[in-house]
Amino acid sequence: MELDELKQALNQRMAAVPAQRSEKDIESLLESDTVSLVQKLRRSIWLEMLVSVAFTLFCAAMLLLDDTWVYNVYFSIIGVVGIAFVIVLYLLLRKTATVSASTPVKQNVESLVALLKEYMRRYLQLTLLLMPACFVFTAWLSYNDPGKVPKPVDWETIGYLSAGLLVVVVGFYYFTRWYLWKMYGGYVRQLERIVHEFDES
Amino acid sequence: MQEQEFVGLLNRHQNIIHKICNVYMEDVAGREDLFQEITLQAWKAVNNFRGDARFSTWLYRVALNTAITFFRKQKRRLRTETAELPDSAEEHDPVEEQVAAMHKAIAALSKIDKALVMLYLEDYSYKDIGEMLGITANNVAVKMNRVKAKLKEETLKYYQPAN
Repeated sequence: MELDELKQALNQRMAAVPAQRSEKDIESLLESDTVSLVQKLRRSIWLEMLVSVAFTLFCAAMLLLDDTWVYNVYFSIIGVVGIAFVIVLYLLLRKTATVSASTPVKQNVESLVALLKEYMRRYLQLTLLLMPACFVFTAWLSYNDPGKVPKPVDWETIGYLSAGLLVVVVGFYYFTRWYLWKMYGGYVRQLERIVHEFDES
Repeated sequence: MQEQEFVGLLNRHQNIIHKICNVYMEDVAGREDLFQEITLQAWKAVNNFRGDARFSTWLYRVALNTAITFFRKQKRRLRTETAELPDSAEEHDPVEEQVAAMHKAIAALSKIDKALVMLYLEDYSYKDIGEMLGITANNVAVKMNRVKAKLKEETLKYYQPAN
């Protein structure tokens, strides 16, 4: 039994539906929201942008409300980092608009994989960079606070703090990787399998 | 393109979407979800339709892209809700039985192979299929030969011709 012998009958069977949709039904479908992978990614990026904006506003408020030198320096710099986050996230958001369902299928799947991987990479970089930077910066600022009498460097405490920071950062790295993989890893794997299948000859 | 014009065009070509939903989704809920998603993706991408290709060809591309990258959250739900298409095989018509067996074999194919079969059944040339999928016509030919052989073998699991 060959595919070609059953062409017409198969076509009919494939198109069989209990009832055709009316124009009104189709119109109402246009009002709903898409559940595509790109839309899921856009929602995540929007959420992170909102959190970054809220964080930057919080830094700005602290800067205005407190006139301690250490806080002023800390919140100014961390606020600028928050703005940088928003810019990076916005650029990623713009990239999601370049993925279109009207491009050839292989190209579309490849763009999706590239986009998801870039998002995961940036997320990991940004979150992991911020945490040790904040710790080190806070320690440096407290040590150099002009309001305090300078103390001799306590290398033992610095050693403990560094070891603690290392443990937290490593733990956080694996947690973030696990979280990202749980959110998007499965999709990336399936999409990569599709690209691989396209490349097979 | 205005919404009314788009809705009219989609309405005339809705068989394409039904076909893809039937091939890519097992149950009613899945087909409903995919139909909605394809409609939305087509509406979002309609500005890229330049009219130099047929609307049906463009819609196939959008629908296949959507179906191939469509992942549902609750894959295991509603085994009981599986909507069966009219199964004329019950009437013991040998041709219908063969068609039903072939249909089951197609359902077991990978997402890419399903796309190839659907476009092939629509009589698109290998060049057109290649353009829609983003691969060469030669690659389409090689894959199509493999799919045909796979289907022939797989169909025998569901239908044994009486000698």
